[in-house]
Amino acid sequence: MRETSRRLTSLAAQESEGLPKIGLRARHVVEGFLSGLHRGRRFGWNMEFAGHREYVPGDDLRTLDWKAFARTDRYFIKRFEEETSLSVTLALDASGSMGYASGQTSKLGFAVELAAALAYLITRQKDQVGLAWFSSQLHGFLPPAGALPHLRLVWESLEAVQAGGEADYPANLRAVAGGLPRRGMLILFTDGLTDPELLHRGLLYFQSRRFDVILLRIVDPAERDFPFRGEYLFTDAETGGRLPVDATGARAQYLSALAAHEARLEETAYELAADYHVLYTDTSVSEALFRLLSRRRRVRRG
Amino acid sequence: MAWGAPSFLFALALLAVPILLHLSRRRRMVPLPYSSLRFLLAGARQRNRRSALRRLVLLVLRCAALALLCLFFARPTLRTAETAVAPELGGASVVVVIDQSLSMAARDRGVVRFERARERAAAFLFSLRPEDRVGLVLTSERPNRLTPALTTDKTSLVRRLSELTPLPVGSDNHRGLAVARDLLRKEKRPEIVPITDMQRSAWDAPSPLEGATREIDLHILDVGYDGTENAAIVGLSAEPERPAPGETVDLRLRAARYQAALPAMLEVRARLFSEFEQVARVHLPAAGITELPFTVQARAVAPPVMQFQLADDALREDNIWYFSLDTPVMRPWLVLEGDRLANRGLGGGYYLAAALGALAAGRRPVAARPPEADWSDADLIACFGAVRLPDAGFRPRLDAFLARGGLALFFVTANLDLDSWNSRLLAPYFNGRLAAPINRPARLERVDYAHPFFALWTDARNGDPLRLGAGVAYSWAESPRSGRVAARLRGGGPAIVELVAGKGRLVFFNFAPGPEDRLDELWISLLGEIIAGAAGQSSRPPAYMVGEHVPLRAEAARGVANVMIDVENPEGAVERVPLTQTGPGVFEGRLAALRQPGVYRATAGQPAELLALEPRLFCVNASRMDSDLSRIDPGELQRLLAGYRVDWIANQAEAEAVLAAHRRGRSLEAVLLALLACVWLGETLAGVWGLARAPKSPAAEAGHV
Repeated sequence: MRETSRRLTSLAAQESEGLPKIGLRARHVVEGFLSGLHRGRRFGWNMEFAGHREYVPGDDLRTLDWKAFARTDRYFIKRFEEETSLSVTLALDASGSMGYASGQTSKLGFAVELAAALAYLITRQKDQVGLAWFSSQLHGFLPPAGALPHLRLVWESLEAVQAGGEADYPANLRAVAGGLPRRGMLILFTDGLTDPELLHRGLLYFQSRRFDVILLRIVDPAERDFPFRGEYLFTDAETGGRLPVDATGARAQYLSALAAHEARLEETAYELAADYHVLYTDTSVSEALFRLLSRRRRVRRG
Repeated sequence: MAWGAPSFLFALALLAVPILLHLSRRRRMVPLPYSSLRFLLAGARQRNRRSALRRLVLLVLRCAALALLCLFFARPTLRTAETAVAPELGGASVVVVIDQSLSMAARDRGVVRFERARERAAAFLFSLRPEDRVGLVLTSERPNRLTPALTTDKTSLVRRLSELTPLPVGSDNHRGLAVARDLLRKEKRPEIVPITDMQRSAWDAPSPLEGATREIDLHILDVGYDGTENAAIVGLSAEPERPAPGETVDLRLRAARYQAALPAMLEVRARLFSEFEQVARVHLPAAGITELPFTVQARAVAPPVMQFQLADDALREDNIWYFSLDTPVMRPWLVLEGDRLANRGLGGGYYLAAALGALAAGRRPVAARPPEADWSDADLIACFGAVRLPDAGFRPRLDAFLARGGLALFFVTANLDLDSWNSRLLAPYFNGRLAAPINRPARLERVDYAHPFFALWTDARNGDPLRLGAGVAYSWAESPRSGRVAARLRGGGPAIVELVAGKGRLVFFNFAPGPEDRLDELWISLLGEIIAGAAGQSSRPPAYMVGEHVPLRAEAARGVANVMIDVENPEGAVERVPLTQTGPGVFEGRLAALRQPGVYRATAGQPAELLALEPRLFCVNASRMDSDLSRIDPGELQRLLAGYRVDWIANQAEAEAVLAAHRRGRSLEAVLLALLACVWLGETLAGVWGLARAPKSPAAEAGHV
């Protein structure tokens, strides 16, 4: 771990000029994030507690659970899963709707920044990171790897991601799942503006292979609040369809439909045993990263 | 349906504006890129339909508001069965005759009579149908036909009415009616609406109606007393007219009642100022004139003015009638004081002494007897060197006196009335007109109704203006036929009239006090200033009207930085006015608009001594004007106008009733206004509806729209 950190620092020192901008920003976010943590705390996905078993002579006494002994007057040994390198795949929904921005940052831009930071963090933890981005088709796929040049490749790919077209979740997620050799983790960045059933079908490929799935729904504040007043000709970013809408009158119905959709998305995530997080583009990437990891840790402890 | 101003219907073309705005707004819908229409599609059709409906409702409401406004100004009238005129008769033919004599400039209850006449005429004209034909005649010395023939254009008639003012002449209403009849000669349904203040003098001339064969409806709108008067003294006569001292005089008071609602018994008080008072309860019949007898005894030294008063709580107006006995033995002096010098109650001797003293010694009285003391001729001569002319040879002596450049002072405490005792005495000097210079015909050039105290008289021979002093209280007009006073306007407060007569001058000081009134020191000072001014010793104190600003100017010694002036108002209160330095030692300022009429005095406040101060004394005149001639009573008028069907409308309520009777249809203006209010309410509710559906937290709107 220390070695990786040292090498990363060295990489930064040597190649900061040639590093993609997104990489610099990601590094800045992650370093700032980590420097604010207590040294003894460790975040990650590969510290799995497996359970207890009866003590048998010859077991390492350091693994004896003295608290269990105090409760039960019997000897138990704490067991951990074997620590192996984790394979994390970052999948980005690059459909047209992800390009929407009511303010400075589009949903896709926010997702790219967050994905870059996560890629850096994962690589720093000596795990493997992969990347896939898609809309109507799979535009690109980098299988997970742990090498630093791979991280650079991930960053460069992220910089090249463009929004456009309609998202086809079942086909593209199936293709991504097929390209992954073993179980691991999938982090899907999407705005979820699709039929939850299609999303469900796409994520089923990962569930069946016992992937740990995290669904990150990126939401623009205008989508959340619908602050428009008056009459507008609303234009769909994916289909280009137009609809005259009295925004004043439509707001209540919009918010109601949005709440129902979010409930269905949560239900889908629950059915797939996936973590579901909603992130807003008017928050900073570092704050989103902190919230994501904090909640992830709570979930693991719970 | 008829329209009062149909040209406003063209304004309905403005309806195109909201319609065009509505259509253009639909085309101008702003495109807004959005992530997904997924959540907007639900109920979109229903919402859009509702929104379109709301827009349509708003459009309809706005169009309705505009249309109602146009219709309101077009003044629609709905004809009903009972108001519709038979087609064969056509419209009515009406001539409005407006009294334009001087007395119409009088003000009753704060409103000038002519203004009231104009308002009533306009209301009447607007109440007619479009097809009704009208004419307008002004009656004064000569009738003035404003319209050569009858016209249906009432609006222009009303516009011309607004340009008219009363003339400084009398009126002959009979001739005005004759002109009106001439205009209506060939009309089938003639009506005449005279609007007048019912002064007797306007009806004095014989009626030219004799021989008239047709009856004409005559609706007389009385604007004289705003119709509130319900009983009045209309005349008084004495028998014998010139009683010897001590002789018993029978007075006959003529009183009239105008409304049946009055109690039958009214109280009449006859008062000879403070000397005696008779009270009688008299019965006034429902209509006509009642003569009431009183008996008095003629006195050797006249108290010339008697006061009769109708005094009853049921009366709406105080009604006081003054009367002077013409007693031949009363001796006029050059210095005439209406009641006599010895009238202690009025303090006559005091102010006379003060005034004469001011003349003799510059500004201040050199001597004054106590108010309670009588003044004899010897006192006058001893104290002031004043000349007293005996009764015999009064006129030649006065002529000679004036020819030598003398100053004749006349103190009159009764009305300056041609019928009064002292006026009759002096009448030969004015060629029958009181306010004209001796031996010179004078002409009333102009009466400024806003400033009635500044009526302008000119010498009829050379056109020289004749100076009038501050507080001139009267304006006069003669009847064109009888030569009698036809109109007389009386202002409030004491009056000082100064006339130039040859080398000499006459100064009238006119003051009609009540029994308790006294002239205060300020008035005496003012009189002294005027007398001194007439004698060439000082300039005349300036006079202002209520509401005007009074400029003040002072000169102080060098080194003085601040000057304050103390101004004493008629009630004795002192206001300190700071002046601003405008030059070396020169300070100027002004008093804010003064509200209280009377005499004001300015003195140095700070520093106590000033090199100069102007004005030190000034007058502020009220602009109230009354007419105090007698009114003709309705019974007498009915006799005079026997050829007409006379409908006399004395008060506002009756006038309204007549206007309603002439209204040929029901005005829809009120209905339109109510509808307009409903439309406005509807539009407001629509707006509230839109607001209620607005986002609850629109803070983020600025970044998106």
